[in-house]
Amino acid sequence: MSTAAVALALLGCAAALCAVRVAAGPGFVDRVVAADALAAVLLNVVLTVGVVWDTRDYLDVAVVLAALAFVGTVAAARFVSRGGPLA
Amino acid sequence: MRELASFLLLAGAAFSFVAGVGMVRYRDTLSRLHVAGKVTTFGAAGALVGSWLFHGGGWQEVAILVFLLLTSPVGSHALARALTQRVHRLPEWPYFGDS
Repeated sequence: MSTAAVALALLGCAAALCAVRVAAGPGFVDRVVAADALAAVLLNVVLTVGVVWDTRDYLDVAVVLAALAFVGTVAAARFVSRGGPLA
Repeated sequence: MRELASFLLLAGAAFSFVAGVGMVRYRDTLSRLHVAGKVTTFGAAGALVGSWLFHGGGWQEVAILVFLLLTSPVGSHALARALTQRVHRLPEWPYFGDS
């Protein structure tokens, strides 16, 4: 279980750093990029928690999270290319 | 097999941490897009293969891995294309300072 603790600590630090960039990103695209990375980190967290608790129930959560991250990124890209504010 | 799964999960977490550090340290948008497009995908792929080995198969991990490998370049390319269509000269690019 110590390996899982190390992995979850690394993932928590990664999520905190991505959240810092979401909060402090100078532009809209910076925040979208950081939120995309944060979604990938959260996918990693969900998989790790599923392994730690030895259950397969959270894999459906991971499927939905991956799909929603992609849809959100593409929607933000359409928003930027159609003339939304960049600041 | 559990040891290999643990190693892969730890490697995926380490790559996610590297991606978080790069997300803070890199100083322009396209560099951070480079980090978000590649390193986080690699970290999630490591965790997916580890979870697949730990649980002894299953369709969800394979589906997420295929979906991620297909959609992560598409999303990064869509964002970079939209940004460079809007901003022809990127702010502070090239940048030669430190920090």
